[in-house]
Amino acid sequence: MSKHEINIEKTDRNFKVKVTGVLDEDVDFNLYSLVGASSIELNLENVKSINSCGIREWIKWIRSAIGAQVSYLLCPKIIVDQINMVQGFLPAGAKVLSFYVPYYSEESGEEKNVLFTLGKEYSESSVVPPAGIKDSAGQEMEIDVVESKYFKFITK
Amino acid sequence: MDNFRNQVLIFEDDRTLSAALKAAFEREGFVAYTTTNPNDARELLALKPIGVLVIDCLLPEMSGVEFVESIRSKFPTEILEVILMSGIFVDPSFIKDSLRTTAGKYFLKKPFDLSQLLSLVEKPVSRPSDPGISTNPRMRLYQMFSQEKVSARDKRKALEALDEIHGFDLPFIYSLLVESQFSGHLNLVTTVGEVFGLSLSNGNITNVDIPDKETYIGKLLVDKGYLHPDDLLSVVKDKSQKKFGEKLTKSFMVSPHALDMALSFQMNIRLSKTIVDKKIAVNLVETKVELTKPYIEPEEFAEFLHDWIASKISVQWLRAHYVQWMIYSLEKTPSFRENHPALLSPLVQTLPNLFNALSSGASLSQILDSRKFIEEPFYKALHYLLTSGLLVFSSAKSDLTSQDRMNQLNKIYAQFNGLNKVEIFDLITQMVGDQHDVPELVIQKFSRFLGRAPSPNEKVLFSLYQQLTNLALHAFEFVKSGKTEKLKDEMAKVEVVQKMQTTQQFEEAKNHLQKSSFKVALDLLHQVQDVDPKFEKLRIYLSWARLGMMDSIHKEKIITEVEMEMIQIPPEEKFDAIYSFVQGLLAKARGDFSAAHKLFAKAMSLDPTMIVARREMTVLAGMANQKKGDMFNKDLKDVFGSIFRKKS
Repeated sequence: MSKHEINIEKTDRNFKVKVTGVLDEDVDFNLYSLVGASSIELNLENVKSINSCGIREWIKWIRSAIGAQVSYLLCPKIIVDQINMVQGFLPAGAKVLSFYVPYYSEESGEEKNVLFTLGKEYSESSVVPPAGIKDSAGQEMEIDVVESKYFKFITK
Repeated sequence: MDNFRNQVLIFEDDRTLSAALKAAFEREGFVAYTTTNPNDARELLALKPIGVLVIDCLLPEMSGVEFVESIRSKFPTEILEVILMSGIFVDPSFIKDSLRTTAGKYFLKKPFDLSQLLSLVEKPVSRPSDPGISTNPRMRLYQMFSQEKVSARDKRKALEALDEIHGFDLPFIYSLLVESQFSGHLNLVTTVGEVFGLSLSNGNITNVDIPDKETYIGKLLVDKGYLHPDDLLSVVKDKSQKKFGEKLTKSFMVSPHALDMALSFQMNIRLSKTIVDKKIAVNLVETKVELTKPYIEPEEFAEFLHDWIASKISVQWLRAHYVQWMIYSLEKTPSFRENHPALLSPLVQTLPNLFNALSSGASLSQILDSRKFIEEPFYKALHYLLTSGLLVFSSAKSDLTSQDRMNQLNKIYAQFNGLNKVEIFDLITQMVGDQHDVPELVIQKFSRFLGRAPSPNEKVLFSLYQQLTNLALHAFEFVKSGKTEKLKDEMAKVEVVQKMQTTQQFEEAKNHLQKSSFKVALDLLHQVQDVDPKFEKLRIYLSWARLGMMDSIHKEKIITEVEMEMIQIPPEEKFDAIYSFVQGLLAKARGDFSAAHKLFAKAMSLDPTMIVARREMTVLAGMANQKKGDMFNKDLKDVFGSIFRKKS
């Protein structure tokens, strides 16, 4: 069974792409051509992991979407980390429409991912984290990442 | 005195108040500047490492709030703290708005008490800053060097927080991943966008992906005696589509077990190649990774870690890295045990009484000043023991004498020797543990790092402190002037010319070695070493030249030096004929002729055209004949038999 799954829904030249699973040396993006699209919306919510081979293949693949307006949706932490670290992982001009932010409760040790959406919790240049994120016992939770590093793709 | 300790700019048009504030700050050990107009203020901010701006809201040319707004993008809060003051605009809503728009720290209503203002600003400290309180992610990682116990979660969080590191940080990072039984991927990106990384399954390294795909399998199998060179040649000639390893196992030339061992060793070589003198961006992806053969298990990893630290990390980097710990003493951790493999490692073993010295309660600076150990292997052994978790830095020396400070500042000053301004600033950046390029932050950290200026009565110490601060300030001003890129371009051009020269000198040295002109070769190799100490295979050829020059008087000394050189040869340079040959020369120098013979034979098996190895074998055979024995002829059969015998 394949470790990853990529589904593309095409409406005219608008592509909706859902990527799930593990992106590593076994992924062959050549099977999923992005050529000809005018807009591409990638839902990345269920990407479970990515290694260096997966990153390289991803950059080649996404670079093939010449001329398309690219947007990333529901990005988990592993994707946000690559966007911040690897030039070209999010192509120039592409947008992140929403992404998850890990929260942690010192009291209970509970962890939770909170969705930040463009236009709500962040704009194209700044982030305003929502107040009052609480764990299941009602205790205040804190952002569990280094903010200056995690939000770098927004503020740079 | 031009000192960059906590510099303050007072922007106030009331000259009486301005002078009073300046005097108050200077009494507390700050360097204070005053100005009454925006242009001068901008110039001072651009040229001086100012950390605090005290500014009046009502100024003649533009308001204090407008001024701060105009400079904020260049001087964010991490670089510049702003304290607003006013006697007229004291309406609560104005105060709130002005603090928000300027990202100000505090608003003082005039008149105010000077002590109130001084209490808002971080005071200069009288001792060097404590590395244990850093907020920089990379420095936080190294705070573990002073913590006996760190939870797995804290280790993971410290690793996750990392952004940009130095390539020489990687051995410690790898060791944390192995030790904390991490599962997932460590992805790495160089400044030119090369992506590489490794994968781990519960602390076992299962995959290493680097851009350089050179394979060492054949050499490794021959070196370990699992494969005959002729068999290797036949497999290389086989043009079928099968993978190299598959060709070997399918043709029963090597067992799958031997192949796995060679593959895991190849991972070691590839990991070694990641440890470079460059900045690297890192990111950790925690996920389940299946444990598949081949892999590097923790016991094997400990040996590889030793080799990487011994061979890849430069002493220049280690010197700069450990400057911050100079006043600290060390102590054993609970992981310490007398028979721990790290204590039996070559690096530690070649430095007699090292562990006793390190755990004697003396500060690092005192141990270095005792001159009991050769500096380079000492730093490497220290780094290895700290990375292995056998030692931690304990308490800092609380009563620093003038001599202690003198020793510490001298160690820093010595590192600046011969460097240009850009190199000095890069070194300062490394000393404070920063990988980011905000010069103001770097210089502020360095100022804290040096501690408060000594009293002018302590003439020598004061003069040294001044020289150091002047060097740092000039470097800072140069970096701020925007001339860095031009100088770096010039340095790159010089480097290309030097590289060509050193390559030529190196080749000449090799020719002289072939002709046994050891003195000429050694001189040439020293010239190469002065320019580029990390020149590929330099240590091997230096060792050959030294052994060639050896006389009976200096024999023991040279053998010790060469042994130390051989420990510091990187794994990727150990699998060719020349390494075996020089090891053979070392064995011969020690008087172990049997081992020497085996090693020369091995060198010849790896490179049948190696005349010098053949010559040495003839010499050994001649010596054996002189003794009227047949020891080596007999041995030769055994040697070839044992080398090419398949082990499984």
